[in-house]
Amino acid sequence: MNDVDRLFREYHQPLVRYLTRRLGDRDWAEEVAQETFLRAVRQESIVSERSWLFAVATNLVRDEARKDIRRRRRLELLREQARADEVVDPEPLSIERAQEAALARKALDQLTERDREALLMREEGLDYTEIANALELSVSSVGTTLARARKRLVEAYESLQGEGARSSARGSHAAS
Amino acid sequence: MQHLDEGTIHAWLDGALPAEQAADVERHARTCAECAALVADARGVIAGAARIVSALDEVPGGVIPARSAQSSSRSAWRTLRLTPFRAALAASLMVAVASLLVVRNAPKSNAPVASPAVAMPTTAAAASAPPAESNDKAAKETNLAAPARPRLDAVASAVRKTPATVLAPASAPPAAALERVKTLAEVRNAPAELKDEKSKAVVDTTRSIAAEPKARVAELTSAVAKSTSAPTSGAAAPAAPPAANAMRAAAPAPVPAADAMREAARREVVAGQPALFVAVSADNRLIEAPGCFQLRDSVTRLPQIPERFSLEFVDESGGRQNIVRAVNKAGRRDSIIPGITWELAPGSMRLVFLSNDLPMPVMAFRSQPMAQSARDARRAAPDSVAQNAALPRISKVDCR
Repeated sequence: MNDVDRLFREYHQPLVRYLTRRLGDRDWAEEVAQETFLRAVRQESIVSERSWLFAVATNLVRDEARKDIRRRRRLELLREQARADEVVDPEPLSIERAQEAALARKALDQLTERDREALLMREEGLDYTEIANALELSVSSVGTTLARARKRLVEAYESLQGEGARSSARGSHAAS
Repeated sequence: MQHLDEGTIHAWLDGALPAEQAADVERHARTCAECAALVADARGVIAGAARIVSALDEVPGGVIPARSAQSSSRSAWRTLRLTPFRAALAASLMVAVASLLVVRNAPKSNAPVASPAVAMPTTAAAASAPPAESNDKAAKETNLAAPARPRLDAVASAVRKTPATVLAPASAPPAAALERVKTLAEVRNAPAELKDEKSKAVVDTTRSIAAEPKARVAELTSAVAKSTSAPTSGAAAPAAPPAANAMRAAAPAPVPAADAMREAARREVVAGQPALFVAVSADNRLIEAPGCFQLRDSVTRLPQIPERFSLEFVDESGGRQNIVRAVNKAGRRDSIIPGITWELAPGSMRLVFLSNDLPMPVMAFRSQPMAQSARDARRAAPDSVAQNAALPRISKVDCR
């Protein structure tokens, strides 16, 4: 098994998962992962493989995001609207899961780009040094970044949950 | 030692501090109530954030199970989609055709004609049919070890991450993805005059891989949509007849979606693709999965699916599988039905696709949850039920 094969088998899955969480789109994540591995193939030597791959993938996402952020926002809005129109009670488990995912996505979107990336990399198992390398941070600031990211994520999620509960309470009150 | 800051606490809880510093933090947290509270709080925040992030992996309707690590270890039988039943069927057909040819071309005499063509396929079939044990194994693999079929995502938004596939893989499996990376790398290193040709080949392959599941979902979804939007006789419509009667009725009723879906799936069966079964929620209800269902008045009874069954997820190492399990009369979940998988159609959550690897007749059924209250009963309007009267119904049942 050559280096490319090993690299691919070892990191493809976590990288795609990281990118899917980051982008909310598996196809897009697969494309970015593919481009990342292509660049790895061309690279003569990579010192810290995991942080290198995550850094390249993150940069590719940023480049892509800058290009079509407006278009995607519009699509996202349309998608959310379609989902909101579609959902009626009762609330089955699959719907709850979908709603949780949508809330999580919204909450994540409220973080700054750096906080979001640091958090998702940490959840993918990268250590502080790898995160620091990938995001060009100092290792000592990773803890602070993660603390802030986690706290904001939880707060944003709870706030969105509260809003959802209030609006559904209003809805059921109006219905009765 | 001064009070701990949040960054240090998180680094400590993440195991990112050097041993000496970690010991200092631990010592301080034991003696300082204020910092101990901060540590407890941070633990909760870390766990909460992890849970929220993992919620991002949930695909609407559970249609995008994570890819299984075993995705490359498909059995040859599964890869070839060759089952004993199919092998026997193919052999029988060959024998029949060969016999017909021999009989037609034979000289008109009473002398028996020895035809090696008759014997050959039978032998071939016997050789190609796996032993019963292999069959069991293949069935288990089909059900449990089969890699999660990638995505069917949003029909409306051109689908996203979603399921190894029950429907065709929405994204290429790792091995194929690796090959694509290698080929693309070659393309980029190739001389300019060769680039166009190679690029086109790669792009075509990629497109065909990505387009297939979307096309299938779109085809089936549009078939269902046609049916649900078909004109009905409106408020004056009589009570919906039983589904079986509706199917038999020769009246100028709208073409039932089941026919379109059967036709679509029949084409897939002919093309060697897994057969598809579609569950439709006709009354604008969402399909509650995982959950247990009872087949009510099926028109075409699917042999593998018992009267009561459950749609469930199981977590295998490295991925989630969507399984169908038999449910007994007492509501207890029983054995897994081998070879059948399910997934919610992307975007709608009112359609369930079940698929198998056998060329069985296609069946569509709809979900009709039992009314829980007067409000629910009102919502389950009879005319919406009538729209899909041609489809067999399923009802949600309690299970344990």
